[in-house]
Amino acid sequence: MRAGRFLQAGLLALPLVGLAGAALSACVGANADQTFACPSEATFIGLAADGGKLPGASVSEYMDRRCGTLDCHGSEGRPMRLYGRLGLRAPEEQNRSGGAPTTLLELKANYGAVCSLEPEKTDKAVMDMGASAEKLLIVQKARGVEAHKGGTVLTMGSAGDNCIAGWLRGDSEATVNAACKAAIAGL
Amino acid sequence: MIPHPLARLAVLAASRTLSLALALAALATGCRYDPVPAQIIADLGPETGTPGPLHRPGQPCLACHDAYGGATPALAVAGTVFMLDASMTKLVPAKNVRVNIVDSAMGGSKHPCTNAAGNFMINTVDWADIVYPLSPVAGSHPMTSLIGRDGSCASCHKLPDPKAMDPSMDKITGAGRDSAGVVLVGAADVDPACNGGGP
Repeated sequence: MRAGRFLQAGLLALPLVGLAGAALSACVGANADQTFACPSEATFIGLAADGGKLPGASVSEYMDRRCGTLDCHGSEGRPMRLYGRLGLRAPEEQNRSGGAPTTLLELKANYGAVCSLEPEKTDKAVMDMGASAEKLLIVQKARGVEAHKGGTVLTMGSAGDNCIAGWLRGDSEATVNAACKAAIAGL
Repeated sequence: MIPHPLARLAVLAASRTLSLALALAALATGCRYDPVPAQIIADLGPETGTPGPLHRPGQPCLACHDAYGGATPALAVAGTVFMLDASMTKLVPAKNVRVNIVDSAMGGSKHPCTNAAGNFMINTVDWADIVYPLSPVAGSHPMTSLIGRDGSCASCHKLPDPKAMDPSMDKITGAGRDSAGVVLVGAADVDPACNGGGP
């Protein structure tokens, strides 16, 4: 008798859970086309609008070397998947790990992967001119403040930290790319 | 018939103990099972010889030789080094090659030699304070990138897989979109001081 009532309640609750799920998924913009700001793509990928290489090293280049190894974020099954010459290659192109240089498609995919981690909070960091940038998960995990399978990767104020957090803060292109170059040299 | 109160108590206690035991067993197996490493282990296939330092060359050693797999000895870093045969079309074990591995701690390094199967290994007890990332050199060949956190060389340096869907894969070395290919050295990389290639 009692079990029957539980079953009845469960059956009634099922459509409600479904409706709640549908309502949540519909929250991503009225037409599912909401866009979020992310810091400079040029600084991240190291290419100017005209396709010219920017001096120093890009954020993507540093992250590819430090975070994107095949056993970490260069793994297909890991969140914030990164592509690059020395790690995982984009499936659309037939390049080998360790082979051809990182392609534009891979650089842009890396930018998308990093920007999509916390779109709303990243957008907020852009809007508040970087004031909340260091609260982003990518910085917190890299610094070991939040749990990170790869442990503490960056110490606050290090070249690598100034490369990633500096880009998120909106530091100048020259400052960020110089920090990324120094960080790669230290690997 | 009304059962004796002591008998009822005994039955109640027994059923509670059984429930607790079942719950603990379910919890233990639930915590133990991890589908990702379990699949990696299953994909390695059955043992073809006798388990030992020469077995399963080219496979990710730490899939089993770690806390999850439970095989002994537990390994900190291990892998296989290969050479190409005279026809340059077939992989053969590279024995007596020294592998130098430097970790990110000040002065942390190990220098094992490969054995007859090309395998080398460092037991966890011998490198308990290992700090990633690692920078290895096999013979005279330094690794271009870093080892981020996986002590199995073969997790990234995969053997060629005839069933792989990767059109870019090199059928001899296994290099492809998600593999750096096996660790390859040349004949000049054999180190006479290794002599027998113990771990």
